[in-house]
Amino acid sequence: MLYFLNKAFASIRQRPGACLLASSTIGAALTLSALFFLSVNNVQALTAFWSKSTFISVELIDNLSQKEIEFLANDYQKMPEIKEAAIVTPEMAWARFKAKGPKSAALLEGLEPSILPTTIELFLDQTYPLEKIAELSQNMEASNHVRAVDYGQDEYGQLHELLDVLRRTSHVLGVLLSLMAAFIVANTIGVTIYSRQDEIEVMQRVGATPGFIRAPFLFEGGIWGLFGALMTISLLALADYFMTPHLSKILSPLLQGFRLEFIDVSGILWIGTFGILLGLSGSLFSVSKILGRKV
Amino acid sequence: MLEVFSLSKTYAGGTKALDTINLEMRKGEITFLTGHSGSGKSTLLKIISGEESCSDGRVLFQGQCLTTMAARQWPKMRRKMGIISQDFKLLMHQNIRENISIPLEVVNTPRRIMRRRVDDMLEQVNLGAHAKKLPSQLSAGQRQRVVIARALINNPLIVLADEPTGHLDPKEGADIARLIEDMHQKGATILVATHDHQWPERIGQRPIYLHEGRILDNPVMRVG
Repeated sequence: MLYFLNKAFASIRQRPGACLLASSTIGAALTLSALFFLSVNNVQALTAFWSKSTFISVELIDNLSQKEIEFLANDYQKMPEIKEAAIVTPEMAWARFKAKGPKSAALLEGLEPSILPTTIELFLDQTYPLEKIAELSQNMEASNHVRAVDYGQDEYGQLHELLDVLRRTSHVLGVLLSLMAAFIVANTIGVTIYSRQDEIEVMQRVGATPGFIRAPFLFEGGIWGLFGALMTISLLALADYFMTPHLSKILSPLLQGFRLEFIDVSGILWIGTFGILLGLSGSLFSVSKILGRKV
Repeated sequence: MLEVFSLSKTYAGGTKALDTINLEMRKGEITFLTGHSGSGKSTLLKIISGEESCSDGRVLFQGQCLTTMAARQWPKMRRKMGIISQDFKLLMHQNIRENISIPLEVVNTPRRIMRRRVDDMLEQVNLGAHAKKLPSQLSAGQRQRVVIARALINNPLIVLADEPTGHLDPKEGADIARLIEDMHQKGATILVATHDHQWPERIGQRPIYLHEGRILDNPVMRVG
């Protein structure tokens, strides 16, 4: 084992250019794949974030007594999905609208708060799929006391559909990207190892077994993969350090409270493992191809 | 030690490289195969060393049939053979000492023994002063010496030398020829393919002439 590891390191020292080429290719493939999966993860997190932040606004009919309103709010509060049910009187809604700015206040001039309906704002206790929120809303709308229920269905529905398409496409793209990365890596390693077929022939000529010939190449492939993974992790860490605060600043007015996801320890381990596996399998495939051609 | 029976080789295009070759070699013999380019000398050596397959016939080495031997048995068999070729096949990133020690590494020889044997061999091929040099720093003749040292380091039962003086100038060629003759004097069994038909005559040997894949004059040669 130590002998093969020494051989692998010696070969890397003798051909630093080949090592750099193979490692960079693995690093580029891993970085592309990691960025893609990070994007998909963030899109999914964003969907979850929006679902969680959505609340249901129940618009009540006019002329309901305070007691009826409170009774209804209490009923909602008892529902397991509802974390909080808050009554918003026309006066409260009037004050909120006015507080939005002088333009909003000007719009209300000459009008009375009574033109606004009483609403009950319902905050969900956790993330629910859109179908579940729609089902809840339908049940609420069936009540005689309710005029309309709004959970941002129009905007949210379109967005959800878009995200759903993105999510499905991402699976296909993910597979294609991985296959492409594996193909490019296998070819680069193939070319690197092909240039050393003389070495393989010499080893065969002096009676080395296929396993003995393969082993140093496998170790070398694994080391290339590890170097490639380290390049990817460094690049992502740099991107995280320089870009995340900047992006968060840009997105914060739109997505208050949303945190961009980046790689964590498990992500680093995955990248390391994939890098090593990519290097190993590329080497194994290429050496076996050359060995298979020889007697 | 080595017996070749009715060995034939026809390539996919129909070209006949070898046609019913018969040959026998005993331990300690040196046998020369001569003939023009394309006469089949190299093909015969390649079939014996397992680098090519034959179309018909048999090759027995120490009673073992090489032509029907499974691929997984070849590595062990090759350790009993020393192969010298005109294309050198040296590892250009490794120094001379490392190149010579490869066959010993393959059989997991202890480092101390390996060092001693490589030192001895370097002296025998007169390359003691060049042990740490890379092949690219040596002349063609010196590189061929490295190949010979690598072929002999494991004390093979037979040495197969394919045009060992082929790419060398006359002086270097004569040196290498002498080195091979010395190895034979020390007891090595050697099968040499060469287009230089004067070489065997110079040392009083009758060569086997190959022409278009057939042996001329002697269907079975015994050269001692």
